[in-house]
Amino acid sequence: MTDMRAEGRAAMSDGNRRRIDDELGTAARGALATRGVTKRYGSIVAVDGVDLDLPAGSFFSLLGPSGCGKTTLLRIIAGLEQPDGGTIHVDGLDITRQPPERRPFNMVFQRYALFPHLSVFDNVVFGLTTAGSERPPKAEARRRVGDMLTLVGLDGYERRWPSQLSGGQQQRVAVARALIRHPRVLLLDEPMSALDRNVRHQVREELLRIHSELGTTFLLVTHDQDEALSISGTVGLMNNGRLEQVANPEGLYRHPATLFAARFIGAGTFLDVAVGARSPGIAEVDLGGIRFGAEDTGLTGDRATVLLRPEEVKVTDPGAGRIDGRIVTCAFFGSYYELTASTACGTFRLRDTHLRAPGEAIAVTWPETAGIAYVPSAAASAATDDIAPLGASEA
Amino acid sequence: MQIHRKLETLLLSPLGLFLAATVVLPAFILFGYSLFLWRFLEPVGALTFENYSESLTAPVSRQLVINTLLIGVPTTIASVVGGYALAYYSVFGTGRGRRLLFALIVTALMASYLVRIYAWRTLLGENGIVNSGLEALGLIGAPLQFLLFSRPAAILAEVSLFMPLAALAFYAALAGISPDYREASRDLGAGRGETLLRVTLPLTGPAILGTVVLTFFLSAGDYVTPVLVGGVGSSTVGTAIATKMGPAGDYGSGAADSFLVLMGFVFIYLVLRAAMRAGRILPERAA
Amino acid sequence: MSRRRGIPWLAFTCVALILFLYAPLAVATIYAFNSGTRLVWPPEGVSLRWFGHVFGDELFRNAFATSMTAAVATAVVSSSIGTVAAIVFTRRSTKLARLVEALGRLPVMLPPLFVGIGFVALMKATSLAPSMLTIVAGHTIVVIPFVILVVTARLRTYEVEVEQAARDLGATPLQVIGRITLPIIAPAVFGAFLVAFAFSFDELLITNFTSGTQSTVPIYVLGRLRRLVDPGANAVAVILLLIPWIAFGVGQVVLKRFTGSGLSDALLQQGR
Repeated sequence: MTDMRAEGRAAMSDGNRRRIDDELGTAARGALATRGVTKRYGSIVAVDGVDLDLPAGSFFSLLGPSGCGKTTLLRIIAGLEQPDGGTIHVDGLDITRQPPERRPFNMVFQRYALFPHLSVFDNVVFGLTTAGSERPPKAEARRRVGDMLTLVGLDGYERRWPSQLSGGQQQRVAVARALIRHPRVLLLDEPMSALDRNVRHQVREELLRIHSELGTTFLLVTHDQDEALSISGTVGLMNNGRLEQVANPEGLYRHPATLFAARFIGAGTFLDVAVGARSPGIAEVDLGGIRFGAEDTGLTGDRATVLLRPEEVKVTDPGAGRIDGRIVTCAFFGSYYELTASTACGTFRLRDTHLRAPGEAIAVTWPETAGIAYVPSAAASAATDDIAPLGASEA
Repeated sequence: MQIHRKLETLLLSPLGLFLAATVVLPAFILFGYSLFLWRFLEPVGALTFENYSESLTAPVSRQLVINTLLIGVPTTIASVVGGYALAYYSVFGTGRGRRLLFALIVTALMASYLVRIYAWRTLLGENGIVNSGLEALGLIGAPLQFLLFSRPAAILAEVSLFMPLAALAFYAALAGISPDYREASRDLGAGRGETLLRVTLPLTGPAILGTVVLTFFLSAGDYVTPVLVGGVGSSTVGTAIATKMGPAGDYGSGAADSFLVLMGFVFIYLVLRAAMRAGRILPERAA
Repeated sequence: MSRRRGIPWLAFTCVALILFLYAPLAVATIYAFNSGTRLVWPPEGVSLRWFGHVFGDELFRNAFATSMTAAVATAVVSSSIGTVAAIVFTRRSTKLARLVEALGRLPVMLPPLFVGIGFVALMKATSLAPSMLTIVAGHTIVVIPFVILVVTARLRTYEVEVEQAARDLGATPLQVIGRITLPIIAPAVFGAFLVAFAFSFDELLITNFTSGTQSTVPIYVLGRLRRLVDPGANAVAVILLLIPWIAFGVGQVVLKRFTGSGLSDALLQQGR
């Protein structure tokens, strides 16, 4: 590894424009690592010391609300922005100071950025004809473009123009254009955001198929949790420039590590409780007299905010549950109804298979041990009722 | 807001009628005039194309056209290249000077046309700054005569007129290009220079074509600059037309010349467009 | 690209180009205040004598009056018919509207010489003698595209919904224009007025053909410039430089202050 690194550095320092690829050879490719990457705009810290580890061939999503720094981080990795601190390594080679055209990555832009003055063919072949590329002979270039277009399902589209294509087709051309250079990591900036709902499902399938066929590492950035959770092997949740949690989708949903993660991912009920006795992993909490056990995420002090997922909470008849309440809203979601119920101790978000009328008296119940307890934040009560239910988070 | 047909016509008529009367109608009148020979400010004789044939064949015409090209081509090239450089820096350069530069470009554009030409005299004249400076430095013994009242002087003056205009046109075109395209180009392996050549330039192709033709056209029609700072060799088709339609009173020939010049420029536009397309500076399809 | 590593040689070139553009103007201005009579460098002293000399010339005073009158008249005419038409351009895209708009933007693409000779032909054919009317008409032609530019830029940036709301509340189209649209675009119209004034004051190429025996300031200056050595010409040149600049400057300030975007932004929108 050391030899390769030294070789790589020598190749770069002699001004040679051959791609770093050639220097590193074809050993396990596409492992991306960032250490302490920081970026500031004036007094705002957009990216705050992020450490990322992507194994070669993985499918990783960076998820977070607008302004959390995910797009900035992606652009830093692509070389379109320079970080104020930190390093970026690919397969052990430090590429932090390299300009974008010399990095072994390629990006699919959010609005595709297909060159409007070039045909589909010229767009896709562009990456093979730039100064720093291999520049294969015409016949081979044509063959490779054809292969790429077939890979993305646009066989025979060479002669078309971007203005003639639909959004979904334009995106596929953008993907083909990026992949033709065999990047070690494919970077995708909010790939679904500009697409219609019904096209997204198709695109999701396509991306997964291409990923498994090529084995290239994919790094995708999105604010849409459905997108991230349904497509990736690993998800990195970002907030205010920091990486809050890295886990597989199920882990992120079932065990959100922070209150932010709990609020951002999925839907749930958030209750303000008092903390009682604590044992390893479980804390006894008290909701206005009702006691139960919740997962302990590192509580300090004597108050906590508990997350109860809709699957954990059930509707029963008044008096037969832990706490009585009244139905406030009832919305139809196809296979279930999503209900909100107000009680003396807070508003609950639940699901039921029956239609309930607003004002109906019910009771809410949950198991002895349920939910996750977090240290309450300053804005604890603020957003409780604003969290969209899972499945309705369209861009 | 819904404007009904009647209201629309009513509101458009002042401007429409005015322009029809002052731009469209005169064009037809001019064409009519071009078909007669003129003497003493009156048309004489029958309908004829002699004005056209005379202008096309006379040796004087050839000289005029050559002068127009000798002044117009360098002017256009310098204005367009300089304008593009100014615009490029205004749009893509490092933060600090950009807005100031743009303000300076716009202000230069607003400066008086006449003063911009005339002021070159104070620089280039026998007692002007350039000569005085060169003398003071001991580089020359006597003032250089050729600086003023020569073609180069006319070219300099016209470039100072048209460069800000070109810069503005290019600023609009460059600013209108989404940064995505240049970033995508860099992402795909092109360096700064290659991106400029293969992406930025073609995307501003239509603006370049339009500005080149317009600048050349304006230069040909500028009949004051040659008078003020040009010399014997700077009579252009513009000065000829101005003389014919002014003091000389030969409206027939003047009108014919103007139509010939117009057609000439349409031709230039088409040729240039084909050349730019061949050179991949102008895309086949509108971006 | 966020990483704006300066392009040093380009910056240097731009500085040189700016010097090229402004040097003549700076020099002419310096000489206007020259106390000596000769165009030598360095200038002999500072004085305002040339300005006094110029204003003492009756011909100049007449020309100045003519220019002012023509400029105001041009500004009034062009901003009114231009604004009214611009309102239609941005609300309707019928063939008629698009034709008139194309016609309105045309004069920028013609050398003023051609507009001028067109006028000559028109005056000859209609036996119209050169007068203030023809001067103003000629100026209006070249100025209209800029009025349209500035006003359409403003019209395009405010919510059309307010007009629809007015209709919903019972206003007729004419009332909407008078009570909603015009007040909102008034600063832009004023800015266009000043731009028209400035361009008209400085106009020369067409005015040569349309003014007959009258002189405007540029024509007066041209006459003086035909004489080789005339230090007074510098003073007039400075006046010719200043008046439109002041008008433009005020127009720009008004536009920026009241509408948030200036003449330059309007010019940018044009390119899209």
